[in-house]
Amino acid sequence: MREIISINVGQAGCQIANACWEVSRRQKRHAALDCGPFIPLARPVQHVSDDMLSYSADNFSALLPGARHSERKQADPDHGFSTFFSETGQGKYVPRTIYCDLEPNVVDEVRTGAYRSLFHPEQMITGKEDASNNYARGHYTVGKELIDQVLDKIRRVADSCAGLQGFLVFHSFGGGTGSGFGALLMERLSVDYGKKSKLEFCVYPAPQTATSVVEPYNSILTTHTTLEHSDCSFMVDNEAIYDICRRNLGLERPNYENLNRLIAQVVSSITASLRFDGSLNVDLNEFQTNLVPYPRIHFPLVAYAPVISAAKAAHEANSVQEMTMSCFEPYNQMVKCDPRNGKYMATCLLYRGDVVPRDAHAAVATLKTKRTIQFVDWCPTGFKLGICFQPPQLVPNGDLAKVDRAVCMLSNTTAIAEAWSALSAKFDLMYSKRAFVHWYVGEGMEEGEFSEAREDLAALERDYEEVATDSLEAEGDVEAEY
Amino acid sequence: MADVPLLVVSENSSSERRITPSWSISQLKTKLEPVTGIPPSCQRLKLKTSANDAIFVEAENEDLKFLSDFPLVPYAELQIIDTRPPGARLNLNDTSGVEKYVMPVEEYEKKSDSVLAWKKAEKLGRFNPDAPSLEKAKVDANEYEIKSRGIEVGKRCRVGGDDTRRGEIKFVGEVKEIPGTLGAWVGVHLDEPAGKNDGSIGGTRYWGAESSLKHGVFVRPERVEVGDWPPLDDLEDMEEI
Repeated sequence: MREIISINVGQAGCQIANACWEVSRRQKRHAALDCGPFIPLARPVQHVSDDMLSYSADNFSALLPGARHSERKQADPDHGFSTFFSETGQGKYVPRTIYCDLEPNVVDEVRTGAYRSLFHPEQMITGKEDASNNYARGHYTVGKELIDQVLDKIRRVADSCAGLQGFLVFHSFGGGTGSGFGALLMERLSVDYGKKSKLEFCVYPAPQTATSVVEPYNSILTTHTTLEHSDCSFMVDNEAIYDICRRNLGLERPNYENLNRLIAQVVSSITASLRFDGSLNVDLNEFQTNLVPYPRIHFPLVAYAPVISAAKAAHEANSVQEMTMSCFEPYNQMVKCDPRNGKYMATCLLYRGDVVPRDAHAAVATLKTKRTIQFVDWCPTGFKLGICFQPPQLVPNGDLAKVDRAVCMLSNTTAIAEAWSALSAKFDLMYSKRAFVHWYVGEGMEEGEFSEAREDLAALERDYEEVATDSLEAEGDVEAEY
Repeated sequence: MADVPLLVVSENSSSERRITPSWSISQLKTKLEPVTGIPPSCQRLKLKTSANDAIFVEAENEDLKFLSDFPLVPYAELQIIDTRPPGARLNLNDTSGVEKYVMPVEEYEKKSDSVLAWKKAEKLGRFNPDAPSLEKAKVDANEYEIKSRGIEVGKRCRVGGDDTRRGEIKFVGEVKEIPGTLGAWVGVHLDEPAGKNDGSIGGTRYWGAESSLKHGVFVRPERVEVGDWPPLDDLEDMEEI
């Protein structure tokens, strides 16, 4: 067994988690109906031959472990389910998850909400005082009161695992708990669990609209602190999600619940390969193997298709080809940036549902002819495919239409550095005036931490530049004919 | 009473916030300070109650006036107005006045935990001594295309992916008038005047004589297909009509 513990930090983390468990639970029910209650996740196992796993022959070694794992999983039909759920003595399944927040209100709603019976009360830990949008409160003063309790509960869940793979941490970068406590937790998990994988799902500040004035501080401080502790961080920015909801789902004024449901669908697609048999990324650390060439460059761009409302679904063909192409359109991405300005290091396409390898391969062949998709020349990777036959599930009252197939694209592209560039500029503007710095110093933080964090982010921007240099430049600016 | 989500909007922020009705106005204002950057004493709160109506959330004694006394509708907009004169507010949006910090190259080169250091250590990209230089690689690729496609002056060819433009190769070589490129270009005299020039570019003539008809075009070798392509006879199709 290869269990994964998910930890939800702060309001955004907890609310996304709620939406995620809704999706996962639906999936469990669905599978149970299909296969009978005692084999929760027996399902068709797809065997894709090794050469189908990847287009890049150089990449065989990275993918072979995947093949091995799927063999092992075949012998253990319960594998996928037990990754995220543990069974209590009474045959009840409890998600391996921890909710933590410095203030009680959001988690209280889980405690009293429709899904309360899903969780054990001990899995929910809250303090009494919020972090007031302040990284320093989450990381130092208020956070330190709660961290040992949280680690204690995590330890208890970890002890019940036969072979813990690692952790998924959900948090925002802008809020006080999400940024400060999230970073503290990542640091402490590194101390306690050493090299166990840690993946983050983080809500990143949108480039145009800040959710709070101190968001640039919180985001840069938390990015700096977690940089060496996270193996892979999947970012979503609220503005990108908001626009997708408006454009594709026709929601005039999407609220956080709408946004979170969409994020949950994406998270579900990414974790599908951990939960169900497939041909790629079956282990947590394989995300890193497949997507991260150098530890600091661990922020893949995520896109998902199709995002369509029930009203439109009937009119869309949604072929494998179409949905694959739309993942490379900037308007389907979870972070606002333009990959046409960047270079790719790796791309994974995680298909779900009714997808045959031949169609997926044809779609990739088309992608390879696109001049806008440029790979760095020193990185021996290309397109990688994963197919999971379990189609995406729906949440009740959700906004997304039921579809037979979907795809989630994970790309490590240098374009994502745009996300920090704008934020760093805002940080500099504020810090040049020392605006609000006293709020942080007042919570025991040293001013030097600001400049240290900013320095690290400047180095990260240089890192991304360095990734992109000395690839054979496509003659993009040159006309084809003279 | 459960929290009510409101859309909190100020000059420098916009977000959905959960508001607890049992808070006093003062408590709310304290919580809004780190969100909006506006000190509580300078905040004026305007709550939209419908598309056209709004009320101010304020009271004589704001410590004792609670939010439950106001019509809190989920997802209604709560605007936070900064009552300070514009000159007294902080500019948090216009970054044009402050130079963004960029790490100097020398400093980046000193770092040991950087992509640069790693590429050097692993001999990747331009640090790979076996890899030909980029420019050479480009020229090599270009030469290879010319050879493998059998591109030579005097041969018939067609240009571009489709079969609409055929012609004769008149020139193969570097064209210094086309900026920013390395390696050879192929000059083709098209059968039809569907090109870009008359065989000259930027004042240099590569073939032919001056003409107002644009039979000439320069393309990269990868867009040229050599073969026995006789001139297209437009009238040929007419028989079928």
